[in-house]
Formats: sequence, structure tokens, C-alpha cells
Amino acid sequence: MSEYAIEVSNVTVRYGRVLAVDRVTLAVPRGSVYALLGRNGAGKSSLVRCLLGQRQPESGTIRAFGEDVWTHRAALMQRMGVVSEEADAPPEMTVDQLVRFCSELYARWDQNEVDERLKRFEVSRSSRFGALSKGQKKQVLLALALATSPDLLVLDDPTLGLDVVARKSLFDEVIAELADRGITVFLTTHDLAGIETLADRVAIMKNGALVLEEDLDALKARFRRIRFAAKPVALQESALRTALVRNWGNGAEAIVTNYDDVAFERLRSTNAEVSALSLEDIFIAVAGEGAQS
Amino acid sequence: MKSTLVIARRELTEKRFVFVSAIAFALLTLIVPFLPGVHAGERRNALVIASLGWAVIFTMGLAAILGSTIIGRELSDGRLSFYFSKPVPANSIWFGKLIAALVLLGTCFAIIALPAIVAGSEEAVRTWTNSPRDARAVVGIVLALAAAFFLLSHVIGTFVRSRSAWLVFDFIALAVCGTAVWLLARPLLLGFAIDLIRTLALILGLYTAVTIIAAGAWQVARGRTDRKRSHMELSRFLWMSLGCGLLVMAAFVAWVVSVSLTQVKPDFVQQASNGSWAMIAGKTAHRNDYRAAFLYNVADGRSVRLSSLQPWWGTTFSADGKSAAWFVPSPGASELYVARLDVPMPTPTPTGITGVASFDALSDDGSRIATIERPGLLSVYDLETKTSLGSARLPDAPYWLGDFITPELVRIYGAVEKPRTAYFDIFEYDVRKKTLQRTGEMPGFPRLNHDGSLCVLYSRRPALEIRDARSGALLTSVAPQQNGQLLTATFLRDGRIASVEDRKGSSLVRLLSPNGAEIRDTPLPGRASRYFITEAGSGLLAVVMREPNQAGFRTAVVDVNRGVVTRIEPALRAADRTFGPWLLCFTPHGLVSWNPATGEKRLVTGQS
Repeated sequence: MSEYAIEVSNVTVRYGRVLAVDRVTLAVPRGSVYALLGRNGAGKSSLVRCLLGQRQPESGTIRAFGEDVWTHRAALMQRMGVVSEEADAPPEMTVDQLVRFCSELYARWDQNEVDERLKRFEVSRSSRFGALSKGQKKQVLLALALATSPDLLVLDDPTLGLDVVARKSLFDEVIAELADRGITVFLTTHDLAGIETLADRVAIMKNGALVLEEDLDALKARFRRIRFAAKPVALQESALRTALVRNWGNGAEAIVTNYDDVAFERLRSTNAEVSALSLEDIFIAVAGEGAQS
Repeated sequence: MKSTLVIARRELTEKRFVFVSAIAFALLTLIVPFLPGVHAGERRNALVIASLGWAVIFTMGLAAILGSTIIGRELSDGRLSFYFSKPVPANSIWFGKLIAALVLLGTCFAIIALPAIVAGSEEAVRTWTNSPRDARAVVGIVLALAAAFFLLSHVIGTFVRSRSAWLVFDFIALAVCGTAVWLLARPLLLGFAIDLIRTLALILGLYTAVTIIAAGAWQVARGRTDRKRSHMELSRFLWMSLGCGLLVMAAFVAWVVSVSLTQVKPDFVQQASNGSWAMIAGKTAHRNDYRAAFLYNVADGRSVRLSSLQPWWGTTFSADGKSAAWFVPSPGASELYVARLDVPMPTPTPTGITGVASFDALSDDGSRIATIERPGLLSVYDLETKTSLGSARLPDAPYWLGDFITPELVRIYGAVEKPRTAYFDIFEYDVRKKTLQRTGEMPGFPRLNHDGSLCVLYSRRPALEIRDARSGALLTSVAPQQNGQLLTATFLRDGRIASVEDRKGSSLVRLLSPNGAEIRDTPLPGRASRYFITEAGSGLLAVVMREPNQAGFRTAVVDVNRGVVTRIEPALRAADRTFGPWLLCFTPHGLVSWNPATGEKRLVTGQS
């Protein structure tokens, strides 16, 4: 049995001449919360579509629980709960009809789970799906996905359209609870603050390529901000690599990607100050416009 | 299977408003009988017509809408991912949707047609077919058409909605397939294989339907939520599968048309009055109603396949036996083909002369041809230069007879629509002067002598009449002797006349001079219900005798010079237009060439 819930190997996706995903390789350990980050158009959703077996990559393979997702999609979906980026359920169906429809397809359907979730989300079961708000649609899809008792939950931008309360509830209650139960969660999101406390591992895509994939703790340990009171900055002497350098008051600010205390000691003479970075800071440094990729 | 039914049920639930619409339409038809202008006695018919009309229109419209949206709309709206993110096989998605659509179509048709069925299904069907027995067939045809409409709409819907460059490929493939179908149908049309074409069209239609269903499954399985790839996969499967089907059909058609002369069951035989070539045509073994035609040399067995032949008319040999002409049918206008027969292997050659000719005749030397197209356009062509030498308008007639009297003069016998005294009007067309002249009328069917100057009439006449072939004027008549009955008569090549008379229990061949003077009688063995004379050369006649009660044929060989029957051949019948020394004859075993002088037979087609 593979130790990974998902293994993406050298996957390339093209839309005509546009390269959407460029030879991406990543692995999602079982039981982890894995966040795939990237700006709009970075290729996240294309990769997710391939991961769900909905689109065949031009090259490369994607496995879930050791099995090829393209060839074993239907069987694998018994183990995967999915909340897609677009609320794709038929708009004419009522929530109740959706629940009934899904309940007939899954072997491990948990009716109590969906009943409780829908109650908690305060979604009317007689409402047509198309008549629900964006956030409610996501909540219904999440309730349906969780009722399948999944081993892997794939969430493609699940907070899109959710209000602050619902977003917080999603991260603090749902994903945290799933993580505690050992369920693998693979998600793409722009809500970096929300995921920062939950993600075990993050990957960042930029222009279709994977520019970073690492455990979040290790990532935060090696990414630091160093501020200098005055110019010029002599970072080269310290062997620290920079992801971003910009003006800061009369001095300068650099984001380094391989911080260590020994190297920093060499900069003491420049009155440099070091501080930790948030995931959002790291993301901007890596995927932002001034990033030195 | 379970997931297929779940999908089907979901689709039906989603489209339940269609059932409501169908019920509304059904109720709407109940108003029709009470509309102003509908008479009390016509109310039932009005209901039936309205109900069935609405049912057909609604079902066809629904088929088009369902077909174009079943996959195409969900793909373009990005909603197919809903199914693909569930543990549902792609085949279940496709077949579930397909089942739902077909159930929807059938049920809606039944709902709207219900008033017609209740009012009387016999009337309902009689409205269209005049036959109440075909009720199931009518319903079957409507639903089959709706299913075909649905499948075609699905294909077109996918193609159009994908907005992919594959559409260009589709157009090319469609053009190629269309051309291929025409190329496959054409040789069968030329072979008059209407039943076979109908059968093949049905098979191709069913194959196409199955292919589209399979292509849809393939499209959903391979294209999944990718709109452009979905189109590509559908196109690839569809055209490749249709291509394979057409290849198989092409192989079958190639087999059908590659028929040999021995596989022909001849029903048309025409032999040149000189030389040894004949045209043979008929249906073929194991090929349904496909007809094949051959030029066949009775002397040495050489044969040339003709692409097609319009049997019974339009085939002609020149009097010298060195040329043949025939029309090859095609939609709109047939084309005249000719072949020189005095070469080792005759080659059919198109002349470019087209028309729907009802008559044609070659000049004695085969250099000119005269044709008549309805309603009576006589044209004369030079075959060497393929130019028109002249034309004239004849009065329209049910049919025409005639021939070149000289290369410059064509004589035409135009049948009279309602014969009283005259059965034919006689015309002559002077090719040089380009003038048409009515020269007389003929009170019966004329059998001309070799140079076209005289003719004999015998049918339904008390006496054999020898008439001037140009004016129809009676020259002499020869009454049967001993109260006998004149049964048939013909000019022999040497100008003498041979007739058959029945005289109280016996029959005989009378040989007369060109002016009707008695030469010799030859008694025939036994009696027959019908007689037919053909000339085998050297003074020999083959007299075909149909047995009483149409039990069969036998042929007596009569030596008119000696006045004796030299041979009796049972179960043998010379073809209508055949001349010696080798005669083409029908036997129970097939067509044979038969030498009346020696009795030798050679099998041409059939079983040895």
C-alpha cells in the first residue's frame, strides 16, 4: 500500500497552445492536509481536474491510493469526496433530491452526517440548488462530500463565496476535524491565513510549474524577512539566497529562502533584524510579481 | 447497472416538466373537435389528426432538443463534472442519459397520441397509411425517426458546441462518407438493385445508429469534462467506425458487382440479327435483386461485362451485327453507350448522348442512331462525331417502333393512344432534308421484312396480311386454310414468309412467297397454346411451342425447304430476339446456346 494518498508524476496539461500545467510532480502523504497554492491561472484547477480523473493529462501520471485516477476514476471516487471550484450540481434539483441521488451512489454513505451538516449550515432541503447563494452551494457540496465517508477530500477553492464565519467554520471545524480523524485533505485556496494553521504541507504553482513543495514548518523555518537600516545590503557574503528584495524606509528588506542562524550572524555588523514570515508573505515572495523564481 | 438507472431516474426527474407539457398538448387536442368550422361528423377525425400531428411534431422537436443537449450543453456549461466527481462509470452516465431520453420520447408520444388511440387507432393509422393493420409499423417508424433525430442532434450538438477546429475535419469526413455512400449506391442503382439498396440502407442506418450510441459512450468515457476532447473523441470514433462500416459495405458491393455471367439468371436476351453477339441481362445468384448485363458471343463464349443495361428497351444492334448500343441509366437522364463488336474484345464507350429515350435504333452500319424522348422528340446522331444530325417533333405516343430504312431515312411507327382502325401512325424522317412526313397508318402490329419495304400483320386478324410498310396499304391477304387459325407469322431473311396455323387438332408451318403465294406446308408434331418462330439459317426454323395449360415449352426444328421437322427439343425455348445458327435458349437448367442443325447445346449460365 502506497504511503501517499496522491502521487502526481511529471504531469503536463495543455489547452491548445497554452501550457496550463508544466511537468508537475508532487506527493500527498496519507492523513495530511495538503494545500496547493497559486495565483489565478497558475494551473491549480487544471491539476485538480486531472487528479479527479476528469481530464487526461498530456503526459505524466496521477495516482490516488496507488491506482491510476484516469483508469480507475469511478472506483476511486468511492473513496474521495469532492467539492469542486464551480458549484456544478444540476440547478433544477432540490437539495433533498441531491442528497437522495448521491446516497444511491456511495457504498459508505452517512445520512446522519449530511443531515447534521445541512442543519448546521441552515440550508433548506427543499430549495433548488440553483436558487442557493454561492456560499450555500459550497456548503451543500461540502455536506455531500463529507457524507461519503471519504479517505481523501479534495476541495478546489472551497472558501470561494463563503462569508467570514462560514470560512472560519470550514477551517477550524471541518478540516481540523478531518485532520484529526486521519483523513487526507487536498485543497486549493486563496485563503492562506485560514490554512496556515492546518496545512501540513504546501505546494505553490506559478505559471503552470510547481515552484515549491514542502512541509509548512520547514518552509516557515527557512523563509525569513531580514531588514537593514541602511543600504547597501551585503547578502552575498552571508550565503543567504533572496526571494525578494525591496526598499524599506531608508533601508532595505529582503526575504531569504535558506535562513540559518550561522549565516545571519555574519550580517550582525549591518544592524540587520530578522523576523518570521506568514504563509501569505512566503506566497507573495514566491509567487508574487517581484519574486525571483 | 444500478448507477445507470440512478442517472436515468435523475434525468427524468430533472425533465419531468416535459411530461407536463405533453399532457397539456394532449388536453389541447381535445379542444380541436369543438373549434368553429369542424363539422359534427368530422370531430373524431379532427381529434385524431390533431392528436397524431401534435404527437409527431412534439416528439421530433423534443428529440432534437434532447439530442443537442444530452451531453453538449452540460459540457459547454461545465456541469458534466458533477457526474464525474461521483463513483459513476462513464458508460452509466451516457446510457443513463440515453435511456432517460428514449423513455421521455416514447412516453410523450404516447401521452399526446392517447386521444387519437382512444378515439380509434384504426382511424388514426388510416389517416396516414390507408391500412389499419400497420398501426404498430407507423408508431415504430415515428419512434425510430425520433431516435434517429435524437442521435443526429447529439452529434451535431457536440460538434457545434465544442467550437473546435475538429469541425473542419467533420465536414471533410461527412463529405467523404457521403461520397462513399453515393459511390457504393451507384453501381447498385445501375444494377436496378432497389431491394438490395433498401436493405443496405436499413443496415447502414442501424449501423450508424449503433455507431453513434457507441461513439457517445466512447466520447463520454474518453472526453469526460473536456469539451474539445469530447468532440475529438466523438469524431474519431464516429468517422473511423463509419469508415470501417463503409469499407465492409464496399467489399460487399464489390462482391455483388463482380458477378460472372454464369451467375446471371437471364430474363432478357437479345441477339444481333447478324454476327454472333448478344446482350444478356438478368438478376444474379445470391445478390437479391441486383441485375447484371453482359455482351456475349454465342460462337466462342467471349463475354464483356456492361456496367448497366436498361432491359426491354433501349438496347439495339446494327443490322450488320458490328455495333451495339444501349442506355446506361442515371438519375435524370440516361447515357447512350456503344460498342464495336468486330474487334477481339468490345469496349463499352459512352457517347455523351443523354436523355430518357423511349426508343432507339442503329443504322445498318452502326454509324448513326435514332432516339425518341418523350413526348415525341426524334433525334438522329452521328456516333463517330457525336453530333446531332437533326431532330423532329412527333406526336406523343404510348410507344414507338421503327428503324433506319437507309442511313438517311428513319421510319417510325407511333402507337395510337386509343386504337380504332389504326394501331400505329407511320412517319418517315429524312435526315438530309431534316423533314418529318406522315406516310400512313398501320392497323396492327407490323413485322417488317429485311429491307423494311413490306410487313406482315397477323395478330387478331382472320387472315395474314401483307402490307406496304411505308404506307400501311394492304397488298394481299392470305386466309388460313380449312378454317384454321393464324397464330404467328414472320418474314424470313430471304424475303419469304413463315406462319403457323392451327387446323382442328393439328398445327403446321406455312411457307409463303413475299407476295403471299403458297410454297409449302410442314406439319408440326402435336398442338400448342402459343407459337413463336425464330430463324436459324440454312432454311431452318426453330418453332417454339408452348404446351397447353402452360406446362412448358418444346421447340421443333423445321426445315422449310424440305418441309420436314428434323428435331424436337423438349423443355427448350428460344429467346424472343435470337437468330441462328446458334440460338440462345432458355432451359430449366439455365440459358444455353443451341445449334438447331446439330442439336448441340452449350451452357451459358445456370447449372450444367
